[in-house]
Amino acid sequence: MDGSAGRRPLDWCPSGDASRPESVVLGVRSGDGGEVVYLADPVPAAEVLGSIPEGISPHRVLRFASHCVSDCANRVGEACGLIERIRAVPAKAEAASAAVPRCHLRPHCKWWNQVGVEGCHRCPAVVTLNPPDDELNVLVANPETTLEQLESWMAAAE
Amino acid sequence: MNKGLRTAAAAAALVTGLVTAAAAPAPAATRHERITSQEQLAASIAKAVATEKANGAVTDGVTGGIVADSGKSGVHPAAC
Repeated sequence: MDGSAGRRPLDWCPSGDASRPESVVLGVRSGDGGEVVYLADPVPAAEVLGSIPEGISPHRVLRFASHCVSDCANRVGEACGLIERIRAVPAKAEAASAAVPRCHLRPHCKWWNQVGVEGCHRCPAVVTLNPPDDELNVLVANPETTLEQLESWMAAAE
Repeated sequence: MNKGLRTAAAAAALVTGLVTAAAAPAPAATRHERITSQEQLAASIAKAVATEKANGAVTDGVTGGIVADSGKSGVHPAAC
């Protein structure tokens, strides 16, 4: 396969790492219940990080987009295992029927390209950094969690 | 007004109504607001930070996102 002519455009991770050079702000967790409010246009992460006070993790108040990389622990072959785990958790009814967020990332978004609009419905509720005592979200976030383990946990929690 | 005029008037009113109805925007589904200015961005960040502080800031936890598996992560185009 030759170079640029045959290359698929890069996917971007919508729960990315703020420290990467290409990282941009996707949204701010300033909506109801901490839901993400999306930026109309990307802003480099470096321009915003300075406004986050000491003692606050940027990944708690913002969502960043950065390149989807092949050595991410969430990679399952070419796919993202994180969005598959997120999808495995039943969505709130209102989230499933809500209008799809308008974000700047969608055509390049790994989740959109992998699972379509369902990824968009789940996106606003995703927090990049999950506290250790939030059992379900820690399970979802952990790249080592299997779908079977997640389903077992949810069944036991009912 | 004779019957013909009433009919024409009714037809005109119907067409007008249809045009009006077509021109009126359909009730919008709930639209997500978007941040479109630096001022909005700053205000949103301030709000999110205040909420995080009020809830007890989390500085350590499990990342639900990109997790570099090794020290030499790089950008690799997806396989064609």
